[in-house]
Amino acid sequence: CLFPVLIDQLNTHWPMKVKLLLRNPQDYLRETADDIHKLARNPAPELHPMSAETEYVRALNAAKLERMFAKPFLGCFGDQGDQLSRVCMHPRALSLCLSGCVDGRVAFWNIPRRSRVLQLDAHSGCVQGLCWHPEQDLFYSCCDTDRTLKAWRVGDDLTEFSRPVSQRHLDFAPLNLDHHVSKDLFALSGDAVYLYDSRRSDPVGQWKWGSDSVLQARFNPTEWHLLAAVTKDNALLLIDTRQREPLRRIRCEFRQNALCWNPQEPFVLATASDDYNLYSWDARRLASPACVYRGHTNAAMDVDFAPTGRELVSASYDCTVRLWESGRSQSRDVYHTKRMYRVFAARYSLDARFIVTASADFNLRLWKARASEKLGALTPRERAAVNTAEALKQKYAHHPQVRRIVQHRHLPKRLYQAQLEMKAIRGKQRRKEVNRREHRGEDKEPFVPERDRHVRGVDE
Amino acid sequence: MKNREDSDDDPLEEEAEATMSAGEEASADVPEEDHAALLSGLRRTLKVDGRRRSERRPPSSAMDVHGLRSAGGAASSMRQILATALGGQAAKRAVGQELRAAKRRHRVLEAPAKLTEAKSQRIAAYERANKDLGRWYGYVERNRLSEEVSFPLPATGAPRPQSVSDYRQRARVDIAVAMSADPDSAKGESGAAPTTSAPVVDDLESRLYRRLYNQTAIAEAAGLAAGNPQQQQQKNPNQLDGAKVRERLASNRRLIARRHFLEEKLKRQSRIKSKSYRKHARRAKLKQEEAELTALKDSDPAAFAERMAALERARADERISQRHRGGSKFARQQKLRAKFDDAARQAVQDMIQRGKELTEKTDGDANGDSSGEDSDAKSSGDEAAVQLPEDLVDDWNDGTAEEDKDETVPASLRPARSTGLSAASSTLASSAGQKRQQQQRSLELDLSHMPSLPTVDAAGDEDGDALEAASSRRSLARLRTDELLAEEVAETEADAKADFEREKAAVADEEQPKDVDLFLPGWNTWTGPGTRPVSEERRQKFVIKAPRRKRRDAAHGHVIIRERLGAGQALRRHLVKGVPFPYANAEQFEGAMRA
Repeated sequence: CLFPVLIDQLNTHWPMKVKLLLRNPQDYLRETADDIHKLARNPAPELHPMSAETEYVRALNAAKLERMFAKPFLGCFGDQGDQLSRVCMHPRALSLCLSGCVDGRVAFWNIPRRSRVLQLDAHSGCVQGLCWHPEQDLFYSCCDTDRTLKAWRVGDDLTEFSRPVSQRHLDFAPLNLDHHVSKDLFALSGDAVYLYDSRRSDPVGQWKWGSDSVLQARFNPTEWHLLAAVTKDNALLLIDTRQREPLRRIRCEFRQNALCWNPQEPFVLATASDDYNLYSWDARRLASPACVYRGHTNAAMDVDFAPTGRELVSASYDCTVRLWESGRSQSRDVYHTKRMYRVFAARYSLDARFIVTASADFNLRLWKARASEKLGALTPRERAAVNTAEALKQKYAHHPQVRRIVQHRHLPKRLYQAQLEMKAIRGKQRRKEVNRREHRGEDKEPFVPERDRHVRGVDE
Repeated sequence: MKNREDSDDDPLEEEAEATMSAGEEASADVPEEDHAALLSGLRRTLKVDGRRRSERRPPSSAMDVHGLRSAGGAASSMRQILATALGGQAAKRAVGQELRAAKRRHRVLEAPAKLTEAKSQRIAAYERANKDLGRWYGYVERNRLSEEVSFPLPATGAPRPQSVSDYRQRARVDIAVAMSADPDSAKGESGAAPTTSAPVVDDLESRLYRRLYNQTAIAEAAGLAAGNPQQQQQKNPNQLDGAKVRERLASNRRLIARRHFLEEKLKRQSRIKSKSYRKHARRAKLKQEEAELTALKDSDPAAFAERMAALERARADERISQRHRGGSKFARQQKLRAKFDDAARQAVQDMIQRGKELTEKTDGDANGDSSGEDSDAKSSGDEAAVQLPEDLVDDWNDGTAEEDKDETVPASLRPARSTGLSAASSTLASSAGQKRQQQQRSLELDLSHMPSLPTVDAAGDEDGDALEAASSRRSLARLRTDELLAEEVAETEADAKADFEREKAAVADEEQPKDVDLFLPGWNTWTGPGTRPVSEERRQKFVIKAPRRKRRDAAHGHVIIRERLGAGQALRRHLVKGVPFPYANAEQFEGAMRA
């Protein structure tokens, strides 16, 4: 009985007892005449002795369908005439991005239309740094060959495009550029990390540790006064802009090519290394990386966090782009095409659904972040089906057949062979370690976890 | 942190300094006496152990190698120690003790205070940054555990124009609006830099700075926004001409690309396995070499001579070795060389001839064989490269001579002759290999005291001569037993083979899934006499055929590979092997899967 109290009250007035049966017409009526007939289903478990098996098969099918629909490549933006060195997404607009070319040209792209809005002959050498002003319609570009930093206005006035609104000649070769999240400050990395105020001619701060130049320095998007930098002498620097000296230096085994702060987790940053790995670091515990991301078969050139902070994308010299879940050392997916050459830059879009990559084959490419995601609006039933499939895959993720299907990727032969080779090398090293430990004893050859193998030392 | 524990510095003082340096400059002008008094007061109230800061002292004239002078006061001065050391055992012990104590006190000098201070400042700053970052921990953890993440796009993003034409149109409209509203400001806008461009810093401070340090470059950089870019380009020594730089970069890139293409091409070519391609490539290469040589002969005689010398060396190497083939790489090169050298042509001819002789099939003719050897010895004798010592050559000749005596019959017949067997058995023996011969010999020994078979007896009677009969009988007996033995072996082999095949078929039958007959017995049969039985066709419709599987051992005649296809076997590849990560035990995991 649905409303016992009410009916009790009714009973006091009426001698008749009312029984109510509530039915939702949506459960048994079709929406349209073309729709399939809805079947009444008795959910009693004893009537479905094979339900577990059915569910398993549905999970398997969901996994297979995911792979069937995995078509991540959306399109190519057209030949740029030379290798692309940098990509920079607009900080506010979803559909806009900039690309920097090795021959000094900067192009401004409309992503959904895959059309070039404009192109500038910005520099006379490779565009090394490219960043947007966070609030105004301005972007900065710098070049190490002509040693200039230029500001370009992307307003409505087309006449402004032909020449920069301001230009600085630097007495060092800038290697990268990053803008402060809110203030008119930007960090230039060259022979040291320089902090510039856009209204002043001299740098307002300068940090250096060691003699080699700095490859990239980036502001922490949350704790604004913090900067992280990677240097040519394989070091990772943590810098506080309020201090005169860098806070800490981590000496790594190999060179770190790029770095990125997690936008959602202020103390987490990731670096792309020359030793084919990515590393994520906890800025509070810099003695060893928090996670080692293994999978590339050549140097990782760039890394970017998704705006959700839960995923990473990396561009590599092995002509692939890999996607990673933050904190999981195996990649979630690997993207490649026949024509894509070495990838130098990869960036997530602001909605974390797309990835733009810049590669040595003169092209900018657009990818889906989820390979099998359907683009466009979903009907409620489609949405329900997608959710069910996701839930099933998650539930049966540990089953060997489901895992096999979900993890399987077809790779070009050279990549596949390179992976096999790396696997063999790793296996050999591990076997040797075990043998040595057995032979010499646990105390003389202690087990060293993977995380502790990549840091040479920490300078305070 | 570690270094701070190691150092002798007063922790309190250090912290006070760190906060002072990080804080405002106002605290810097506190008098030192006051500061010291404050610290000592703090030390007293907090009961902190006030260890002294180590200091560098100026060098003194007194000898103080191991810090002995200050170690034990007056009693431990060096002179006294030396004086007492001349005494007995007790004094020596005392000296030893003193030395040990001195060693214990001996320390490495600490880093200068300037460095340690900078370091401690860095450490303090890092800890503060850590604290700031650590405040986000709860937020981050909550975020990590939550199902959804929110990352709203900034609301300030204005709608953007979509193409150049849009831009143009909008720009025109905007300019028109601006002109109509305020013509002066619009004019100013078109020329002047926008808000964030670096304005010309021309205040008193910057002028003083420039005058003091005379940094023209900085002045230029400051004035660049308004100045003429071409003029500045000329002034900046670091800047190269744009076109030149681009050209240089382009040429570099082209070079790299070309090298890359060449590498790829060579790699591709090295993978080609086609024989005809290889043949063509070889010929092309030979032709190219030939052309090069002819060209060299005229253009660069020295290089030509060198090439010819190299070929000569190769020829000498070849003579030492035993490769005398006509088609080898060496021979080809020699042929090439022979074009320019008659002697070389002759040498090639010789070589081919010799190769032919060496590879000639040896028939029964012993004379031909030996003559060949002789000619070989002669031809090898006149080669400059192979100059054997004379005694060695003599030995060699003697050996061959002795061999020749023996080799009036072919080598394969020799053991037969030595055992004195007839020609019939010897021909048989010659057909088989050396191993077989030995086997036969052992068989023969066994058979010598065996009774002869009747058929053999009959053969012997026919002959007449007792000795010959005995020998032939024995040989025939051996032949017969051999056959019998072979037959027996063949029989057992056949049996074993048949057994094996039977077993294999049984296994295959056992492992082959069976057809399922769904035709119920009794159907269409109980309606009484006169009704037609069910047709075979109709009956067959109810049989579900089991899939025919190809066995893994089908291609291997001598192997049985069992493919156990129990229910457990088929299911095994679908089962989870261990307890996966977030679960502690199997029950938990099963519970999660059931839900």
